[in-house]
Amino acid sequence: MNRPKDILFATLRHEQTERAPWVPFAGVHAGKLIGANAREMLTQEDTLVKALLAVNRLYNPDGQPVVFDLQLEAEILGCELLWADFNPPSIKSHPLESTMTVPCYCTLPTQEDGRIPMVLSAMRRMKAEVGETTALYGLVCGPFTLASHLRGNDIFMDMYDDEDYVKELLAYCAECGKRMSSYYIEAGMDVVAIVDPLVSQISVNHFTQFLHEPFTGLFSHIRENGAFSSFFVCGDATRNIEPMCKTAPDSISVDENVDIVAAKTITDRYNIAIGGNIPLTSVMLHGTQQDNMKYVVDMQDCVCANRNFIVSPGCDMPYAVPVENTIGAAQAVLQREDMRKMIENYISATFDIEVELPDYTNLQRPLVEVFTLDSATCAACTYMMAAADIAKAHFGDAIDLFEYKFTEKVNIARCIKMGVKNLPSIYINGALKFSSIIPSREELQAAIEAFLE
Amino acid sequence: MLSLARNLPGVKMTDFFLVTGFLGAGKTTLLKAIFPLFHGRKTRLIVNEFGKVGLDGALLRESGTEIAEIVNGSIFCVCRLDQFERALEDSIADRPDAIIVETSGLSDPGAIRSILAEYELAGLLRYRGAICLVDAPRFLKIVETARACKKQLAVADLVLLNKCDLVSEEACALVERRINGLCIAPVLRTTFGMMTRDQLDQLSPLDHAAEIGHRPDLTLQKETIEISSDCSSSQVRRMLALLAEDTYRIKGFLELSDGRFVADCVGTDIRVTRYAGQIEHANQLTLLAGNGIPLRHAIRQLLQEFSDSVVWKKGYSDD
Repeated sequence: MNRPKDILFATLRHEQTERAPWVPFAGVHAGKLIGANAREMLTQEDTLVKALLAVNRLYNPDGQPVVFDLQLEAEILGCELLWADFNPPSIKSHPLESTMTVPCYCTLPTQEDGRIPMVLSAMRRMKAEVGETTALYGLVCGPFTLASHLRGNDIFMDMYDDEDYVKELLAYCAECGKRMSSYYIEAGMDVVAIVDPLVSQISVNHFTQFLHEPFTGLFSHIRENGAFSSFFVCGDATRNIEPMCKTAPDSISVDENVDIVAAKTITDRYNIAIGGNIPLTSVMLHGTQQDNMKYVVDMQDCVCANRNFIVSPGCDMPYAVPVENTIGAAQAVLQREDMRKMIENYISATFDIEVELPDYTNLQRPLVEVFTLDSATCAACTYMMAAADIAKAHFGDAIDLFEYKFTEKVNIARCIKMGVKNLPSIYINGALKFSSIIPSREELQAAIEAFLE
Repeated sequence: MLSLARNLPGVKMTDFFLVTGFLGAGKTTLLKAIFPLFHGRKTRLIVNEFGKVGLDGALLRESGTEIAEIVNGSIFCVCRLDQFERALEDSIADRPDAIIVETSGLSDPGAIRSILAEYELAGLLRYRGAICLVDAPRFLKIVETARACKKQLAVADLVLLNKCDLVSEEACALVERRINGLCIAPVLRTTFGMMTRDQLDQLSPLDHAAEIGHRPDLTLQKETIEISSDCSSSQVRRMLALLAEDTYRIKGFLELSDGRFVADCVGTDIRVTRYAGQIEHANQLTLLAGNGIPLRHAIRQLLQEFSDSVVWKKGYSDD
């Protein structure tokens, strides 16, 4: 097992390894390493390849993704994108927002559509450059997130109002995932990750009813085509870890909202590898290098890291993560014992910031506070914030609405002071009302109206 | 695909005309009107399924026209491009003077130039342009919901503003202004799809490079329902009345308790007429709708009312 990628492959085959494999999810962050912005990274092949090679050189990964953009398929299918310099693009319009239909399968992306030719070419070049030593991940937008991109927030009501429609739309989106998987495997990807952040926003019953079949089919398709598979989710997916295991991926990846020790006891039962969950903002973005080393060392100590475990960030790394923080995390995997000694007496003071909370008992009008990782970048947060925006449009000046993004240091301190445990979540007048489940229009309006009476 | 070019060196150039227009705009009427302009010329016509319904067989024979049909999909919907290419090759092999293609009302003709380009390069075809029919009374309503309508205008080389006798001069001018905002083609006002020999001869392709988008239209809706053969034609009319408001078009052949019929409805214009020809896929009605139209809801209501007589045939594929 001399090559770095063999450690990852052994983990995905559920074998014992000498250490955990290390897979930094450097999406747009890779651009930072060469001074390119997010749009350049995601649209220019040479820029993309140059940035990915910098990731490979600086962070010594056992595996790395080629492109982390959950909007790639949606763009081809007619969603308008809003581009940003330091984030992946977000979805601006939903083509099926006012039309409940399942598109003709002839509209599904081909290898010639949109940015796919650029991505496939970059994949082939990366395979030639580093494929001998590093495992490469092809990331595909999961069926539920893609369905939400196409249909918008109404998909959450459709699950109650027209179950058949949701199943048919998800079948279309799963077929899209199968085709994308095939393109990526053909271009040399060793692992195909189905990335579906919105899975964390639905109940176990809905997962079983709507998502079990499309995901099982996807992972079976990837396996039949000779690649390893992974199921990426972000947000508080705790309740759905077991249903996710039942769809039989080779691995699952979770973010900081999930207690990875508890989650691993479940994934171990199914003999599935689990990856995660270095906190993206509180540790990677705003922490020190020692914070990163300590977190990664402690995490490996808490789980059985030498089997069925992959060290990685919780999700796509923020653009501005300091390079030294990721290097610190890498070292804590590659030279775990040395790093343990280095940080054994370290105590973090990163979030010792004074924050003043509103006087919730004397508000003039209901105060809706949405705590997100960042509604511009995290799909679950986007749809949670969209639900709040719809409520604000309905109630107008009768309520106040604020978003607190976890990407800002002061908001992390606010979360700590308020005891916010999961993102995204909605608080009304200081009380937690919705945590990791996106409310329907009616549910959120009813919750707010209770404070108006 | 270009085996023809190799097999038929020095083959004469065939003029290629495209006829587009949203459902009910009058494409079939236009075809009838322009056949006499091709008198004495060997002409091939490629139409969408059901497009030939309403075409007068005698008229076709008289003008020396043969007809090819694309079934189970729209001409230029990506699904059936293979069928279109086959029909086109067959037509070219016949060495006609002209080929006329009538697209389905919901089709996006944007893909046509890339298909034709190879035949043009091989010296087999000369693309003469796209004639887009516009229904003057319904246009302003349709253009707001049907993306196909805008796409057809975007690639038009001549717009025939049809049925002008049914609207006021003021309304006609309003429609013309809206069309001018959506395309670069000249607009001719007409009735019954009439155009002159000169107008046809002057048709030539414009440069549409800036106007053609490549995003698929996900909002096109196509559903199929199956009607029991125990039903009568009057029952079917009642069913269609429930659906028509929420469709662009309903079509299909019916073998019913009181005889053989063809249903061909455009919007709320419901037509169920007796049919003497052979029938395939009997009693399957295809329903077409577009952006913002609650077709699924309408079908559910139909099923509630006629639960014993109607089956919703679901299933999506690119077959």
